[in-house]
Amino acid sequence: MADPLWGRLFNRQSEKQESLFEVLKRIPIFQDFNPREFAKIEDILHRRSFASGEVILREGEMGVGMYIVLSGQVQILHAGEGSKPIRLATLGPGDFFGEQALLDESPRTASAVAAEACQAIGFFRPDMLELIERNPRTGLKVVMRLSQMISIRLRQTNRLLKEARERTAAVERQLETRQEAASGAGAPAPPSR
Amino acid sequence: MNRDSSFSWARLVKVLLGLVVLVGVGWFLFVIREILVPFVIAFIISFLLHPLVDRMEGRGMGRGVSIGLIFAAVLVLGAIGFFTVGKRLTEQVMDITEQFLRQETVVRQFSVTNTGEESAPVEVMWQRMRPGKRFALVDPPAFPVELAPGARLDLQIRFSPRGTEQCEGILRFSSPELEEPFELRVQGNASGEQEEFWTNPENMQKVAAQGLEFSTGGIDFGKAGPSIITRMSEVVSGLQPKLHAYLGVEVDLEKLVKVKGREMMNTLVGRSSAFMEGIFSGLALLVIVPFAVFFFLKEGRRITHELIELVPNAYFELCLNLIYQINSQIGGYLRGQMLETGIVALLSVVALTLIGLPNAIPIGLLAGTANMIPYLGPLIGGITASVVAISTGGGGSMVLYVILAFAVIQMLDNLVIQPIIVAKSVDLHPLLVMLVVSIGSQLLGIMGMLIAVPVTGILKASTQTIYRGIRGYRAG
Repeated sequence: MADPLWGRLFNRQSEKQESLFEVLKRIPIFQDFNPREFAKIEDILHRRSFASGEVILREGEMGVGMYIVLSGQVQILHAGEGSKPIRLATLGPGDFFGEQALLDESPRTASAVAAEACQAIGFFRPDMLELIERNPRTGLKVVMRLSQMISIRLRQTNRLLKEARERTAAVERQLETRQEAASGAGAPAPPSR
Repeated sequence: MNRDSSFSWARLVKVLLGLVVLVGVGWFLFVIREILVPFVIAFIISFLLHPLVDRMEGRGMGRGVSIGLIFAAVLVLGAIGFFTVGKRLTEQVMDITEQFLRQETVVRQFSVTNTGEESAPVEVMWQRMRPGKRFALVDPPAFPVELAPGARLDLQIRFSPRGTEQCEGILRFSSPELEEPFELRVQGNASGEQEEFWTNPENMQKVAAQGLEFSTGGIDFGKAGPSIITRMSEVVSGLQPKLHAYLGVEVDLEKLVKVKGREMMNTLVGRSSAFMEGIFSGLALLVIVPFAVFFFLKEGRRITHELIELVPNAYFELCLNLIYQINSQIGGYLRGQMLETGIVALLSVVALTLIGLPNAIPIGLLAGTANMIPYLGPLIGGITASVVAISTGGGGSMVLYVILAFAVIQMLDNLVIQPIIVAKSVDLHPLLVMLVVSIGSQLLGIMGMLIAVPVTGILKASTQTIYRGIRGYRAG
């Protein structure tokens, strides 16, 4: 970070030149918006650049919104028990993270770190609330899409959970049968010895 | 990163540089403070109108159109207000200022010249003075005065009424030269319809008659009467013997009121005239405020957006959230304050009008505005109304009604209005309020006193939010 403020002041203009519209169209959340709605949304989006290794959001800190990766790679890390954090996922262009904070004011559950120089779009709760107030139709559309994305994630989580439960159950069953077998075959053994 | 524990010269230089910039900006703002006033007012107004514009935009109107509609509505309402209460308000404000500032005596010059060839003895006599002796000659010479040819007799006539009633009289000049006596007509505190004599300009010119020339046929002394301070000191002097008898204090209350009252009046008037010159010159306020309000409403969000873009990544979310919270805090505070002020002002005007207090509109408005100042405000309104009640001869019963009315309004404000508005989230300590109001008056006169409380509220809300936000963010 040489001088973030001045860098930002001068880089901003060139960044703007690539139409956000083109970029956003590729992202699932904004897929079926028309240009007019985009103009409204563009007003409240913040385009941020992160250097390689820069922390985008830190686990445990209060968050107010989500980020959508435009370019580059972002690693989602969780501070595990040990000294080395556990890598949960690696996200690329079009992926988003931090969407929970958009809905409720809660501490971040994981950290996001730029794996390489990357660009992301920030979308934050205060701005979203304002959008809903000013343009209920567009605002609701955004919230609707967001809920759909979260619902998809929830479904995935549910599936994973179900799989995990089934696997645990299978493991438990295996354990039980092994114990039974052990008790059936091995338990009477000591007295016989 | 151990940047928190390490000391480096670069860091020190940065901090010092930041301090220098901060002081510089503060000094600059201080220097241009008078120019800032219309912008501060515009900022406050735009905060009040912001939710309305948002709601209209939410209904599908363009933002520009919404703002235009609001401006048009304000204009229409202003015009309606001006034509219904505006005239009375202006009259009452004029009346009240006049009561404070009016001259107690007026002295005018008058002269008689002998244009003839022989000396003439001149005799004068007052006639038909109504409602009593209110006109008099200042240091009159011994009459009859022998007026040599070409000589001029200069007279000074003093008008000192006891109230604001209309007074008139005639000063009759007689001389053997004159076939019939010359009558100089005088009047003061003229009101309503004027007699034809006074509207005819010929009567106000030189009058020549048989070798004598009089400088005019009539003198209008204009408005005069005992000022509110004289009235107050009269009332107080009535109390003095009682005070002396009961408490045994020997104070010249009358003199105290007169001297202190005059001093106070002079300071206030001096300040307000300087304020008028500073602010209203070139109608700056009338042009800048609407323009700035429009700009803030239309582009406010974009300005904030662009400013936030400049914040480094590490503090970005924190800043964004803080700005949002500060916005809603300030908005709630200002809207609550304005609503409360408006309601209290309206109630005061209605109550004082019902009581029959003269000049109820400006006093009620003053009471509403003063209400922004906790504890002290209601006192200011009550005292002003009581002073006016006493000085206009309302007597003890009217003062009692005034106090009663203010007590009821205060009760309503505290028990009904405030709990409903629920915008008292920013509580300002009365001592702090007194301090900032004094600073405001020192820096910007009356306008400074008016904007001191909301500006302090804004600053306090911002500081609180920033403090809480940073702690919560780091601890969270």
